Amino acid sequence: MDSIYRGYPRQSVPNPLQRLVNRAQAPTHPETRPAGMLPLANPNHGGYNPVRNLSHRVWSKSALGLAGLLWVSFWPEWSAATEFNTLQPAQSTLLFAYKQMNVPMEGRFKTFGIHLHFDPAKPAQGKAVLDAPIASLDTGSDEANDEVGNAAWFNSKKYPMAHFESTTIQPLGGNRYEVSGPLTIKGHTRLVSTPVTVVIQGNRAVFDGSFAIRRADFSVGEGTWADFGTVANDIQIKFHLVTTP
Amino acid sequence: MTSGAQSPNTHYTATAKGLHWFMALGLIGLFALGLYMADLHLSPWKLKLYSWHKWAGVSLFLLALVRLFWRLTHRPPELPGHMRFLERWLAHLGHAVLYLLLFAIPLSGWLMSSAKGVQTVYFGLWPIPDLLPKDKVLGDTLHEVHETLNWILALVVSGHALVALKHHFVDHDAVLRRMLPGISGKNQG
Ligand code: HEM
Ligand code: HEM
Repeated sequence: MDSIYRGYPRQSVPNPLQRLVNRAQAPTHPETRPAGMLPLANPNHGGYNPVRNLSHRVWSKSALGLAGLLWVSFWPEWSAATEFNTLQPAQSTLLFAYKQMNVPMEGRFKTFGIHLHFDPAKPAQGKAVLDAPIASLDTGSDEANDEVGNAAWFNSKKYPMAHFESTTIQPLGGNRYEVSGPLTIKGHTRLVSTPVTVVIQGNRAVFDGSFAIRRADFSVGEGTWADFGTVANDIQIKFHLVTTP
Repeated sequence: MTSGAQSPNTHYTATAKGLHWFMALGLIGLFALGLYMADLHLSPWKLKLYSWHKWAGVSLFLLALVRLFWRLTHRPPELPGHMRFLERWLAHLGHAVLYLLLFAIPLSGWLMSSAKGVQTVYFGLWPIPDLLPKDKVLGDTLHEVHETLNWILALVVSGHALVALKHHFVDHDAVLRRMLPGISGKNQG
């Protein structure tokens, strides 16, 4: 069994079953997926938060049951020790910047889950799947946090997740890549691409990038909020992802 | 301003009167706006009012600087001779507290906005640097400071206005008249 951990010391793998759950294929419709289905990275709590809600706990249990099967099917891939697939939530951030009455504002996702396959030797074959629960969105003010879930903003009851899935990774030279794929928010899907800089430091790979979206493309902020004079249309998404093998 | 230097002890200059009454109206307006907007449910209207409140508040802060400059370069008229020692002392104290609040209130607003992480962009054009890093607890405390200072202002101004009216209607002295617009102090004794 120890050969499974080839390339990384045992203590750096806190929960191998968890990591297999991590790699389980996600359903394709993010809006139908229960909140908290992905392992959720919560920087506040310094790691994976297993009991975000009940549905997640139940799901985890059945997933653990499946894990034995998945173990076998995934193990050849696991033996490739150079992949950086495990998100370090405490050091990673997913931020968004916007303007409100021309005042620069910044918010973040307190929690997000990501499946990552990145082998520096074969970058184009990499894959990134990101899920961010709307419920974990922190606008920076309590008043606005109470508001973002409602129908005019994200309608989080119906669309609990923001979802991105990479389809192509193009090398831009050096350690820069262009990652493209569909981004789904509030039931609207738009193709986005973002430059990503990858820095490998020892056993960590750090991914940095930012790209712009327009909230109107996703019907985020409807009705009285549709006017861009108060909350601007342009939203800058910034990510800083620290990963280990 | 030169007129003030010529007859310093009888009247307030047009500059002083203009600043006094413009700022009094502005402060009363901002006070009402502050109370109104803070109770609103979050909406674009509320966000607009907050910005307008902050822009107007910064403007009043700048006027307070002008007013302080006026005060340091001019001598206000003497208090009437009938006032007793304690009354004179209270009048000076009251005016000093009012001057203090003219600075402390907008400063507390600016600090609060910094701590709440909502920068002040003057008229939506000129960003004013944040004095504090974002800190929720500090932001809430500064909100209370801003609010409390405002209620102190309301109290002191009420007393100030009542005393001014008393000077006019009870003491029949020139204290109110020499601050009123249209009555030129230059021509008065
Ligand atoms: C100079 C005159 C000012 C006056 C008379 C004034 C008065 C007030 C009053 C009465 C409130 C309501 C407090 C409450 O009940 O919650 C308020 C709230 C507020 N003021 Fe001011 N203010 C002034 C300047 C400023 C400045 C310069 C700023 C910022 C740059 C500012 C920022 C705010 C903010 C953000 C609130 C809302 C706090 C909240 O609801 O979270 N104010 N102000
Ligand atoms: C927000 C409202 C107000 C503020 C902040 C304010 C502030 C001040 C200050 C700081 C002074 C002293 C000027 C100096 O000698 O350097 C002053 C003088 C004066 N204020 Fe006000 N004031 C306000 C409203 C009023 C109102 C409503 C009245 C009248 C009903 C009034 C009547 C006067 C008079 C008559 C003087 C001249 C006192 C004297 O001759 O010694 N003020 N005010």
